[in-house]
Amino acid sequence: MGDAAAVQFGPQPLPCAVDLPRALRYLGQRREGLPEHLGQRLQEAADQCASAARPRGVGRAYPLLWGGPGRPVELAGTGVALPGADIARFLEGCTHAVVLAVTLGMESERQLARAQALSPLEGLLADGCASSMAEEAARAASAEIERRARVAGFRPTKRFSAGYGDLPLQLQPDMLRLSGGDKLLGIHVGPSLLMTPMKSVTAVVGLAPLAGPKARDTERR
Amino acid sequence: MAAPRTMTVESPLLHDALEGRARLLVDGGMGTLIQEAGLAAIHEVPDLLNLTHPQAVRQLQRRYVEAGADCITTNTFNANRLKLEGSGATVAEVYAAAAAIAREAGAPLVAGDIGPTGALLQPLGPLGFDEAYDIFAEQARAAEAAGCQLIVVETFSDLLEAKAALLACLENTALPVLCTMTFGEDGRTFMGTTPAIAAATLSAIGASAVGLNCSLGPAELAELLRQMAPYARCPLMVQPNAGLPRVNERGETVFDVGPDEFSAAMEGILAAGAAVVGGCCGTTPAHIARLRQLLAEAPFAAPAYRPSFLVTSAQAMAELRPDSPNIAVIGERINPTGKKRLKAALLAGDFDVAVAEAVAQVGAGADILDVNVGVPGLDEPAVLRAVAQRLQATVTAPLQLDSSSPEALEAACRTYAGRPLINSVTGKAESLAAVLPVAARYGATVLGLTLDEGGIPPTAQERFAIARRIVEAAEAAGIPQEDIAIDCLVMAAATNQDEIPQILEALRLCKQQLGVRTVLGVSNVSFGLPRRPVLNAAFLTAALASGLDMPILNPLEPRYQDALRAFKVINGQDGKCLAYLEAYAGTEEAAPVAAVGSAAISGAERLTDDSPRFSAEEAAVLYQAVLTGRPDGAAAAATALLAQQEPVAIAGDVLSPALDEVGRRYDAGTYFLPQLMAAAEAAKAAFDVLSAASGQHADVPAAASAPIVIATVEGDIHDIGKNIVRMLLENYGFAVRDLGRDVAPQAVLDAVRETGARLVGLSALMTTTVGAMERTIALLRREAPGVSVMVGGAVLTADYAAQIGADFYVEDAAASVKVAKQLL
Repeated sequence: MGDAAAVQFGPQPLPCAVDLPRALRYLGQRREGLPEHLGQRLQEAADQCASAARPRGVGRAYPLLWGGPGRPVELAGTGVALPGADIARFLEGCTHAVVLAVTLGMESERQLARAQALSPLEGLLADGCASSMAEEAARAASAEIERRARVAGFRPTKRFSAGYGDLPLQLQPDMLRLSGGDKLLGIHVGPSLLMTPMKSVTAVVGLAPLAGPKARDTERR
Repeated sequence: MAAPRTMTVESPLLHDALEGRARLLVDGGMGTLIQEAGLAAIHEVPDLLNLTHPQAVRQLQRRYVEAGADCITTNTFNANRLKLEGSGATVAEVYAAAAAIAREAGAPLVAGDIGPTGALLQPLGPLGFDEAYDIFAEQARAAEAAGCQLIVVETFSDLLEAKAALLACLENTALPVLCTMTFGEDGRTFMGTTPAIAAATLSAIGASAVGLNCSLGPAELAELLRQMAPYARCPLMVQPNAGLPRVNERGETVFDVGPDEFSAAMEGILAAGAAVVGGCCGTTPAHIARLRQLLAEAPFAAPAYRPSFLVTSAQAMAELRPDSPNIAVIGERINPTGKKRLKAALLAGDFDVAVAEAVAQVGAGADILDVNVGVPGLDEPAVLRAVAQRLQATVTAPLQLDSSSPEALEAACRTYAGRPLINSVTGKAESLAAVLPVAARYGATVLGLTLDEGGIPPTAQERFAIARRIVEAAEAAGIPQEDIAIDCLVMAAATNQDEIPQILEALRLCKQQLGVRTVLGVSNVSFGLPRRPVLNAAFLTAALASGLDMPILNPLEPRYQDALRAFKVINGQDGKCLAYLEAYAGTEEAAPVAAVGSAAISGAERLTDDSPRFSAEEAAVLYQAVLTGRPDGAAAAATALLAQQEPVAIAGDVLSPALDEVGRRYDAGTYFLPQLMAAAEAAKAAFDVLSAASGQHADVPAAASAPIVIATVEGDIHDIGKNIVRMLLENYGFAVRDLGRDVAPQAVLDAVRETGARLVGLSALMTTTVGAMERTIALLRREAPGVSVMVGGAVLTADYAAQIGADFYVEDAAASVKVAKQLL
C-alpha cells in the first residue's frame, strides 16, 4: 500500500484561468449567439475576475473506515461519517480519501459584489466567470492530487461534494475543517451552509491502491 | 462618549516593555504541548481543560516559566460565548480557572488570551459588529476579573474583528492590550490586510503593542515586520510558528524549525524592532529557552516609526509623507447635494448608486473617497455607517467620512475597518469638543476647516490662526500633528476674488509652520462663473504649486485629470513620466463628438425587413440600439429623437415595441440571458434620458399602480437572479420594491401592507432555504390573502412551487414579466 499522506497538498496557489465557454454555459448562452460587444464585456468581466482572484487550495488525506453493510463509511480518526448510498458507491475500492478545499479568495468576493452593484448584467457576467474559474481551480486541485497519487501508488477517483446525490450539505463545515480550508484558506461557513468566499469548493477524492487487481493484471502482462 | 482611559500597569517589566525600554518574552505554542500530552481529544474546545484538567495545563505552562518566559498567556484562545455554547461552562469560569492556573505555574505576568470569534463579520458574514464587540467585552472583563495583567488579542485575519476586540478591551478594562494579526505568504491576511495597515490602524486606536503571529515561521515574518515597523506607534510583538506547517505520514500537522534555527531567525526579528517576542504553533519550551538566551545578547533596535498622514481601508492605504512628493485625490461625488438620483437612492435604502460612483471615481484616479449622506429626514448615523460598510464590501479605496453630525461620524468610524479621514472639525469650540474625541478614540485622521464662531476670516493670517488652534486642540485630545489635515476653505472668485491669493498663502503657512497636510475643495473657486472646469483646473495647478496635498474634486472631470497628470510630472511623483505617457502617448486633443445618426450603427446592425417602420431615422436607431443592447447608443439616439417627439411617444412607440421584440426573440431561443439583460440596460439608458427630459418618470404605458415586492428569502444571500427579475420588471414599466436578500417573512408582509402590492416575487437558490420560502408564503396567505406570489430559483420546479403554496412558478426572469403583465 502507498503512502496516502504524500497525496496531501497545500495550502498552495492553483494554476487556473477563467473558462469562457464554461462561463457562457453557466449564463445559459451559446457562444455563437453572442454579439461582439457582449463578447467584449464578457472578456472584460473575465479579466477583472482573473485579476481579483487568488486561487488557492489545500487537501488532507484520511484512511477510510468501512463499517460494513448498512453503515456509512467513516474518515478514520475524525469521527466524521459520510452518509448515503451515493458516496459509498463512489468510494468503492478506496482505502483513503482526500478532503480538498479551493477558493478564489476574498478580493474575488469583493469584486463580485462590486459588479453586482454596477448592474445586474455585470453581476451575471462576473458570476459566470468566477464560477468557471472556481471549477478550474477545483480541477487544478484534482490534477495535483492525481499527480501525487500516482507517485504514491494510488488511483484517485473524481470529485464528490457535499450536496451531490444523497450526501448531505450539512457536512460542509466538516469538509472545511478536515480539508484545512477554514484555517489555511480562510473559508467560512455560516448557519445556512453557504461558504464565504462564495467561489469556494470542497470535495472528497477517493484513493484506491494501484496494487489492486487491475494493476496486478497489468504487471503480469 | 467614554472618559479618556487610564491604563493600569503595575509590573515594572511590563511598564518598561510597553515604553520600549525593555523586551518581554512571552510563552510558546500551547496546542502542540496539549497534543503531545495526549489531551487534545478530550474536549472539542481545549480551553475546557482549564476546568477539567487544571493540573495538566499547569504542568505545561510551568515548563514555559522554567524556560524563562516573562509572560504566560492563558489557555483561553477559544473561550468566547459562541464556542463555549453547550459546554456548560461560562466565559468567566474559564478565564478565572485559566488565570489561576497560569499564576500557580509561576508566571511572572499573566496575559488573558483572546482569539477570533470564529464567525465572519458583516458585511461578508452574519456576525454584527456590535455583537462581536459584546462577545469580546465579556472576555475582556472576565480576563481582568481573573487577575490578568494584560490582554493579548491574537491571530486575527479580519481587521474589523481585531478592531472590535481591541475596542472591547480598551473600553471595558484598564489593562494594556497587545494585538497581533496573522498573515499569509503573500504578505496579507485572508481578508487582504497588509502589516502596515494593521499596525497603523490598531496602534492609532490604542493597542499597547501590535504585531504578527502564527501562519509563518520567523524567517518569513521578519520581512513582514520590517513592512510593519514604520507604521506602529507602539512596540512590536512577534510570535512566529516553528516554520511552515507540514502534514506528516500519520496525518498530523508538524513544524520543522527547531530551537536553534528558530533562535537564529529571531535575530532578524529583533533587529527589525520586535520588543515582545514568543512563539506560536509548533514552538516549545526549548524554543523559548533559546529565545531567552538570545534576548540577553541581541542589541536593541532603533525605533522605526515614521510619522506620516495616513488614510486606510482594510486593504489599501493613502500615505502622505512630509519628505516625499505625493498628491492624494479625494473624490467628491458620493454626496447627494445636487444629485437627484443619489438622493432618491439613499432615501430608498439603495446603496448601489453610491457603489457605482465609487467604482467610477476609483477608475478615474481617486485615492480617497468622500462619503456624505446628508439628506434631510434620513437617519444619518445609521445610513453613513451602512453606506461606509457597503463601500468597504465592494471597493478597497479608503474613505473620508463627511458629516456635520458628530453622532454620524462616531457611528461610521466605529465600524470602519481601517483609519478613516474625518471630514470635518472646525475651530468652533463646540465642534472641537465633539469631533476630536471621536478621531482620538478610533484612530482616525481628521480634517480641520479654518472657520470658527466668527465665520471664515478673509486673510491668510487669520485662517492660519484658526488652523493652529485646531492643531493645538487636537494634540491636547491625543491626536498627533501628523494625523491632521487643514482645509483653508476656497471662496468663489466671482464674489471673493481678493481672497484667492490669501487662501493659497494660508495653505503655505499651515504646511510650513504647522507641518500638517492640506486639503482644498477645488471647484468652489468657479461658483457663479461660466465654463467652470477651465477655472477649476487652473486653480488646482496653482494650489498644487502652493503645496496642496489632497484636492477634493470630481476625478471624472477631464481637465482635472490633465492638470493632475501634468503636475505629477512636475513634482516628480510620476517617475519617468510613465503615467503621463500611458495616458497621452499617441493621443490628440479631443475632437468634437460626432453627431448621432445612421452612421452610428454598422451595416450589419441595420434594420431587418420585418422591423417596424419609424417616421424618424433616430427612432430606428434607438430601436436597434435596444435590440443590440448598447446603452450609449440608446441614450444618444433618445436624446436626438427628443428634438422631434414627446418622451411618452418615444417610450410607447419605440422602446416598448423594442422590448417586446427582445422578449419574443428570447422566447424563440434566438436571444439568451446576457442579450436580454443588455437590451434592458440599453432601454434603461434611454428611459433615463426621457425621464430627465420630461422631469418625471417616463414609463412605458403598462405602469402598475402598486409596486411588485420582490425578495430573496431568509437565509439565502444569492441575489443575482432576483436582481435580473427586478431589472426586467422595471424596464417593462412595473414599479418594484426590492427588499434585498436574506429577507425575513415578516419584512415581506410589512412591505406588502405598506405598499398595497398585489404581487410578490420570492427567490431561493438553496435547498436549505426553500423552507423559509414556504414560511413566507404561509404568512402572506394568513395575513394578506389577496396577494399573489410568484417564486423562482435554481432549486425550484413547478411541482415544488405548487407544493409550497405559490401561485406561479417562474422558470426565468422573462417569465416573471409575463406573470406581472397577466396579473396587473
